[in-house]
Amino acid sequence: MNIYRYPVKALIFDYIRSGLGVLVPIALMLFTDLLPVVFYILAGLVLLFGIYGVRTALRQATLLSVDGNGVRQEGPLGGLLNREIRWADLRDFRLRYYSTRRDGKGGWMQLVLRATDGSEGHGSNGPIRLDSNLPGFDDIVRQVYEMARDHGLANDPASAANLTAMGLGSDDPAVQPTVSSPAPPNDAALPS
Amino acid sequence: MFTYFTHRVLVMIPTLLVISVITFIIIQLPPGDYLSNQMAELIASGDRAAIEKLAFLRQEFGLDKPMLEQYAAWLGIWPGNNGFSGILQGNLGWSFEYNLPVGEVVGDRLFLSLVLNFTTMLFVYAVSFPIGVYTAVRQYSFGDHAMTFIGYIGLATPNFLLALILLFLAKKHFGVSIGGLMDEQFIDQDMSWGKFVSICEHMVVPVIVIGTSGTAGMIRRLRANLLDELQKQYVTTARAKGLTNRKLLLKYPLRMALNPFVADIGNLLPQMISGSAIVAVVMSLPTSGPMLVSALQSQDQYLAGSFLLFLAALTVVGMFVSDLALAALDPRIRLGAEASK
Repeated sequence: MNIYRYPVKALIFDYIRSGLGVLVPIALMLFTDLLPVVFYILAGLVLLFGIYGVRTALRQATLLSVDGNGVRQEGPLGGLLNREIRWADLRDFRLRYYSTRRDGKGGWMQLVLRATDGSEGHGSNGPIRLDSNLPGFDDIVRQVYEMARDHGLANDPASAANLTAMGLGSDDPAVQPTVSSPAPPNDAALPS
Repeated sequence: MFTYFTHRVLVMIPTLLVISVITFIIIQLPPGDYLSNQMAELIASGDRAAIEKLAFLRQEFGLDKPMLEQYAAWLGIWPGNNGFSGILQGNLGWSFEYNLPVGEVVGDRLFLSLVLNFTTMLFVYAVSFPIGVYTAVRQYSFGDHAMTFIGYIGLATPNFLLALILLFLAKKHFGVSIGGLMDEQFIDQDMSWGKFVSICEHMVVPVIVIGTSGTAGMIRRLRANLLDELQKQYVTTARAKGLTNRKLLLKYPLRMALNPFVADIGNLLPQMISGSAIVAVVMSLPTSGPMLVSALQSQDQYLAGSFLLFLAALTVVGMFVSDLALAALDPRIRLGAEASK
C-alpha cells in the first residue's frame, strides 16, 4: 500500500494566496470608507479566500492510500471527508488541466475519481479529487489509468489529451477518441 | 474548478490594479494638465481672479502632489484633501471641462454603453451560433453559400456606412428617429415604460451595426472548427455504430468546436467597445465613446481615467468569464504547454 499526503511545501503558495486574498480586502474594509457595493464585493473575496484557506488546511491533513483494491482518502472532521473507491467500482475518471496563463503554461492537473453509486456509500458521498502538487501524483494517475483500461472505461477527449501529455495512452484507441484510430473495441469507448 | 476560480480571481485583481496604474500614467504623460493649459491662456489674457481660482483648484484636487499620491487618492486607498474619497468610495473625481463631478457628467452613459455592448454580444452569439452550426453541417448547400456570402458582406462593409444605411431604412419604414438611443422627450427623464420601449427601438440599429462584423467573423470560425471536428475518425466510428446525427453532433464535435467560440468572449468585448466608439459618433449615441475621445483630447484626466478604467474592467471581466467557460468546457493541456507534475 502506498501512502500519499500533501506536504506543507507543496501547499505553501496556496496558503500565501489565501492569506493575501483575506488580508488585503480586510485591510481595505477596515481602514477606508467604501461604497457599499465595493464593501460587499470585498466581503465576498474574504469569504472566497477564507474557504480556499480552510480547504488547503484540510488537504494538508488528508491522507491518501492506494493499493491493489482501490483508493482511500482519510481526512479530518471526524471522517466527514473520508472516501473509498474500489477499482472494481470505478465508474469514471477525469484528468483536468488548468492554467491561469494565456499561453497555457505553468498550470496544474486535477484527477477526479468517481465510483458507482453503491460504492460511494462506503463512508463517502462524493468523488476523490487530487491535484498534481501531491507528491506521487504521476504514479497514481498511471495506476488509475491502467485500472480503468483493464475495466474498459472510456475517457472524454480532454482527459485523453492530458493522459497523452503525461505519456499515457498514446497507443490506446480507447483513450484517443479525437485522433485517427481503429474502431474502439467496445461500446464504452464510443461517444454516446 | 474551485481552485481554478480562486486562482483566476487572484490574477484578475492585480491585473485591474496594473491597468489602473497604466491608465493613470498614460493620462498624466502629456506635459501639463487641464488646469495648467487653462492657466496659460488666462495668463495671456491677464485675468488675475481666474488665475487665482485655478491655482486654488490645483491645490484642491491635489494636482500639485506627486503622481503616486494623486493615483492613490484617485483610487481611494490614500486620503486626499477630503479624506478617503476616490473610486472605491464611489467618487470618480471632478471633470474640469464640464466643471461637474464625473459621476454627474457621465450620467447614464456608462450604463447605456454597458447595455448596448452586452446586447450586441448577445446578438452576435444568438445569430452566429445557429448559422455557424448550420453552415458546417450543411456544407456547400445553398444555405451555406448564402450565409457565407452574407458573412463576407458583413465583414467587408464599414460600420459607419452600414449605420447610415440602416438609419435611413429605420426612419423610412419604421419611423424611428435618427440618432441617439431614445426619443428626445425621454432624455434626462427617469426610467419609464415609454423610455424603455424607446431605448429598445433605438437600440436595434446600433446593435446590428456594431455586431455585424463580429457575427460574420464568429460564423466563419465556428464553421471552420466544426468542419474540422466532423472530419475526425471518432465521428465516423460513432456514425458506423448507429448514433443519430443530432446526438453525435451535440456530444463531442460541437463541444470541441465551441472552444474558440467561448474564448472569443474576452476579445469580443474590447473589440466591440472600440468599434462602438466610432459608431456612437456617427449615430450620435449617448454612450461613453464620444465623451472619452473628447476627455482625452482636453486632458480632462479624471473623466478620461474613469472611462478607461471602466472599459478595462469590462474587458478583464469578459476575459475572466471566457477563461472560466473555457476551463469548464475543455480543461485540456495545450500543445507546447507543460503541466507542473
